[in-house]
Amino acid sequence: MGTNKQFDNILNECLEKLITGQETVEQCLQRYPQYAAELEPLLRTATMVNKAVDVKPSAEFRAKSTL
Amino acid sequence: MQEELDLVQRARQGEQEAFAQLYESHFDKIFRYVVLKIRNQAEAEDMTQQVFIKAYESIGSYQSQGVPFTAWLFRIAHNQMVDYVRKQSKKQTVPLDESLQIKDDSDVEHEVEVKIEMEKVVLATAKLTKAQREVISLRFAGGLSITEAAKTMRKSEGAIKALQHSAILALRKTLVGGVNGGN
Repeated sequence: MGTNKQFDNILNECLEKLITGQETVEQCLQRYPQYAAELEPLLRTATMVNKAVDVKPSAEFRAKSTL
Repeated sequence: MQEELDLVQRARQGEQEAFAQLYESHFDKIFRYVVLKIRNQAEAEDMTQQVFIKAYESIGSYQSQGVPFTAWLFRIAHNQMVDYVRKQSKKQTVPLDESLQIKDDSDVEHEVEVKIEMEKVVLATAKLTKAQREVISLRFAGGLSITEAAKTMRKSEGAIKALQHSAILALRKTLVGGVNGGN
């Protein structure tokens, strides 16, 4: 259970840096080589998810929308 | 952070300019959270607008103790989504809206790629549990921190991290077909 918690923390730390563009998957794996095998597929999937939500409201909507 | 607290305080006192600044800084995040769930550009824009109208009407009663403004706003968005999904539950699932606006749309190839990825991710998230799906929406689409996601979902940070882990693992299995699959 302790190990899971530790891994969850490491995964989250890498995700935080990945999402905010502070680090690449490779940089995170280099920091945690002992977890690389487990981390890599998760971080690659997270990258895919992050890319998939790269959407924005339309310019037309933004132009007319103010409160 | 302090700046946001000041804005919230001023907005609570009825200062429209302060609320407008909160609107500007959170609109895109709420939009991404909503569009990941309803997959339609126009409906997501309208829904996001509704979230802010509701927030504007209720901000006078917002109490900051223990609940950051972002978490409060996402709870409103979540409740709006619950109502929406309830109304839509009898309708068939609609395909991803092709008019979705990609952030970096300068490159057509990139735009098509993002839309394909989004379709895959949306279908994969449909197989997650409600709580896993919510964590993915809040963290990736909404851009919330673990602390903010925990406050929004009224769970501990440890629980959110565990849900995040299991959700990504499940997404991996669906998207790639195995935890050790290449990419």
